[in-house]
Amino acid sequence: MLAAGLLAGFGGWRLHQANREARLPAPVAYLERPAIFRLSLQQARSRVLSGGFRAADLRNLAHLYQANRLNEEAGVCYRLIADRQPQDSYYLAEIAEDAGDLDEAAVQLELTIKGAPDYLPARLQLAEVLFKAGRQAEAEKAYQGVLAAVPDQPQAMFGLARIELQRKQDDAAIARLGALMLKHPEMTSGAALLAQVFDRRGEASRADAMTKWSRQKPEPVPADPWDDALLLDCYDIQRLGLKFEEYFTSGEIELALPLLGRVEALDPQSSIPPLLRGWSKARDHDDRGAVLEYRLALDRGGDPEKICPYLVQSLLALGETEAAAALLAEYHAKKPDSIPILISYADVVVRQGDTAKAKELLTLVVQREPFLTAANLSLARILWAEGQQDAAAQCLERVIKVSADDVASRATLAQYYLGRSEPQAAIGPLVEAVAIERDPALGRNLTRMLYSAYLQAGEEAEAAGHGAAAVVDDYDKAAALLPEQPAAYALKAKACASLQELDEAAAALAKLSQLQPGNPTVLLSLGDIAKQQGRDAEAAANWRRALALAGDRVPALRAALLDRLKGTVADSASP
Amino acid sequence: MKLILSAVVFLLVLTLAGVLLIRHPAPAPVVLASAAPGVHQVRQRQPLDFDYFTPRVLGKPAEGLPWITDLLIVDLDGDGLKDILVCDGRLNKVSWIRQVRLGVFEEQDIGGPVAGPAHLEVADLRGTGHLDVLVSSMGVVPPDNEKIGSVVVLENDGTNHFTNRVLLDKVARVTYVQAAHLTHSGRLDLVVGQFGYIEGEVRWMENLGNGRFASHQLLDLPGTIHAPAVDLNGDGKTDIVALVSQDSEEVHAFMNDGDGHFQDRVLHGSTNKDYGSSGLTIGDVNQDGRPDIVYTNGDGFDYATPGSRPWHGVQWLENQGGGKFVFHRVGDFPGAFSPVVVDLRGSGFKDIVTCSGFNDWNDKNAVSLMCFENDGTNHFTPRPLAHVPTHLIVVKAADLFNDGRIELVTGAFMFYPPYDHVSRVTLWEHKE
Repeated sequence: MLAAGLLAGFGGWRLHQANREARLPAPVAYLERPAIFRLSLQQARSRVLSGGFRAADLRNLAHLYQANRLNEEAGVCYRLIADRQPQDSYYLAEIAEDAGDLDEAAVQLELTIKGAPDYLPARLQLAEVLFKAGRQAEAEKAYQGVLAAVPDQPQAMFGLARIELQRKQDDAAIARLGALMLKHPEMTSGAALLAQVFDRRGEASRADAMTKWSRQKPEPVPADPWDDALLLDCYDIQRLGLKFEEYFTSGEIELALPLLGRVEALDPQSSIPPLLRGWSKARDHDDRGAVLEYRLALDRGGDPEKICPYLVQSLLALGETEAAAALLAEYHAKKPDSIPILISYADVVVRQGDTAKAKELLTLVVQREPFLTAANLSLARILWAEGQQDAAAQCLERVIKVSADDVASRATLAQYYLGRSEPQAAIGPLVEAVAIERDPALGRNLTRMLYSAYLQAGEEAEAAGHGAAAVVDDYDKAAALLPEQPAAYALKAKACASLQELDEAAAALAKLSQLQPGNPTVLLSLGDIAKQQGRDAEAAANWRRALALAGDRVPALRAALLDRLKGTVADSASP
Repeated sequence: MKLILSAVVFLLVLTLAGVLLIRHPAPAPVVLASAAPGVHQVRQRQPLDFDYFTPRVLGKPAEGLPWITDLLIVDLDGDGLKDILVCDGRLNKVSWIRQVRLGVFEEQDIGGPVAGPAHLEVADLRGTGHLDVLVSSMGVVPPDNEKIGSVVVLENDGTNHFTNRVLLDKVARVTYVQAAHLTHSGRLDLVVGQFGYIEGEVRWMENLGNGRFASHQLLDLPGTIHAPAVDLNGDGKTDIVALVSQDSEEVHAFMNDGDGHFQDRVLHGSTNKDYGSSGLTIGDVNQDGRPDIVYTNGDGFDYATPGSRPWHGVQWLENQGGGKFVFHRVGDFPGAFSPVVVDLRGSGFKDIVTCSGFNDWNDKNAVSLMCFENDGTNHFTPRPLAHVPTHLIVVKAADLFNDGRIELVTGAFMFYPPYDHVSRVTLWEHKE
């Protein structure tokens, strides 16, 4: 009987325990996570169960879940806390935000603020959540509430400016953003927004000034101690790494570096902390320290495709080109198919001046990555210097395909084609170069080159016996480029005359005579064309004007004109 | 008592089985229109898995590391066969993979070079009866704040020859352009999204006729990826929806009063500045007649170490009418890009297909092509379709062979190593 009673009691206790445990998130092994996390979780769950679901224990368990991206589980734990504190609501709001439930996030943030009205990040977060939920008027009120508590608070000023812009209240937004920049010059996002507004309004110089401002040092991450506190429970290496990157990008290195220590504690052999420390040191120009860190990352099995290029940059900054080359030779031998290592290796060998090796490596690079600008340019230089212009031109052809703004390569390529009497091949690169060159003087030089290319192309078409349309087209393009230059009109007139396109020839000569009113040969030619078209009187008039201009300076010209005039007069007189 | 208990349990089992049967109907046969008139094949629906499609290289093979930034499935020449337009952000060109005969494709470049093309649309912009190609030009694809963007139209002369004409230039990098009737003029106006970098904007360009346009700015923020035009509220006026990434991570609706006045509304946003919004499309997910908004967040382009983030995935904003939009997470998918709303296997329900541009490609199990299958109640189950090729930044879906089945076409953007599975344009066709 007693045994049955004990058994029943034990059964009842087990059932009670099971019921209590069922209120918690289901236990999961989490084998892919660090052992320390699994242990902490087990202990935290035990404390909740053994302590009768005390708020503090539930809170600790919730933090552990949330800090390690187990939001649903964390939410269950927070909701089991009978007397939730503002901080609990804040974390519930974060969970709702992550799930995209902005209305629930707003509810939780309002609860947070009710209990902790002085916690500024919550007030800002509420305003932002309301704005993102499209609840503009409420967001405005929330931002104003922040400003009432903390005048000139930068995120609130920025948020209100965005609302004003949304309402098309430009003047108010500009005034607010201007004030923001005065009070908080570090708010580069404000400068960028102001630059865009000025640009839209056509205020170019103000826009330019703000653009430059926006590119100053990165904007700091707003402080949020409650959110940071979660990191203490974080055993998720990726999350710690991302937080590091956030601080690193915003220039807050002193906050970033301790996170690497935590990553290293979780996984002493992780290559991530030395790699990230290497970046940090390289950014501070401590390249010696960076090299040590990068080497440690490699020793720990980090990916050489990622690490070697950084390590090489630091070695080059230290002037240790030989060491860089040796390192890359070693890893190129180990990973011959790695494009990043090959590119880096070729770059270093080019710096070393080892032309033969550089040529070999660059050839390999462009075989695998045909459109890398730097590699093609380096290879083109080597090939050109060796007299292999044809091969160099192929490299430049690849460069101009991918570099929409590379004028030099286009000009060099055009020169190469013009040198080979292939004006049509030169025209394409020159047209693009003229379109993209911003320096007026250089632009004029390129235009002159293009003008010559069109003239050559016209002559080539004429010699090849192409029709009038093709020939005239090139000369017309040349004339359109430099309408004050006579050569295009002269060549066009000559070509049209020989192709019996007499009207076109006459028009070109007329244009030429405007440019060179004192040139008697133009009038001679105009007369000839008029004669061919049967307009004898007009022909004679042109020849007479030519004769007057020629005077006695060129006897042969004078004789030719007199011959023509005699013939015309005689022809005209004949019945 | 025991008997009664057994009967209750049996009844319970039957009921549960019934529920399960209702929730998961057996696969039904699909009737497919065949190429021959009047003849139909009956095909059992295949499960959506790695064997559902067979990949085939489409067009020219990959040369180096391709940067395909966008593609579009369209019958460009009106011959009844769907073609594929492709833009290459590295080679600065647009090419046309033309379906010359059913299942036979040939590729040719069209128009002149376009610097950093990022997005393609087609429209008969000049009313010639031929489709012109609208190209969004970034100038350069990697981050840059210079005013190097442009809107370029490749004008179709009707004989498959295309000539570039610049409609807008020297502006923040353009990532989206679409033609739409935004006013009562009867002319096609343009919606332009300009990602820029530190600065950027959304504008619409009013077609004044004779090839002239007047710009009207709508938003002063950088980061716009897509900005499709759609009548969101069924009032007969075309509105604009914009996905704005960078530090904003918001979906904006610009509601049109029909007279060229737009009211900016934020429909939804993330407070996570690193959310990585990557692509947006319009589709009637729940088939209630109202256009819903589907978008992905999977951009890993601008990180110190390109790659995925744990919050990457797919979501939709359910258009409930009356200006109300409700957020639903569809599912997680590292590096998600380019959502497509399509009934992939003819179930009658709209699935969401998406690809991954920024998954962890060192992990051979990382998925590059995914279908979120709709169970009919708008609950979605992830169905991985492919691990390789990797780095897929764009996917489009269409019945390419006029047989009632949906094929996919993907484009690869090889931006960061490893480069073990390089591709350019891939057709995902059905096994025969």
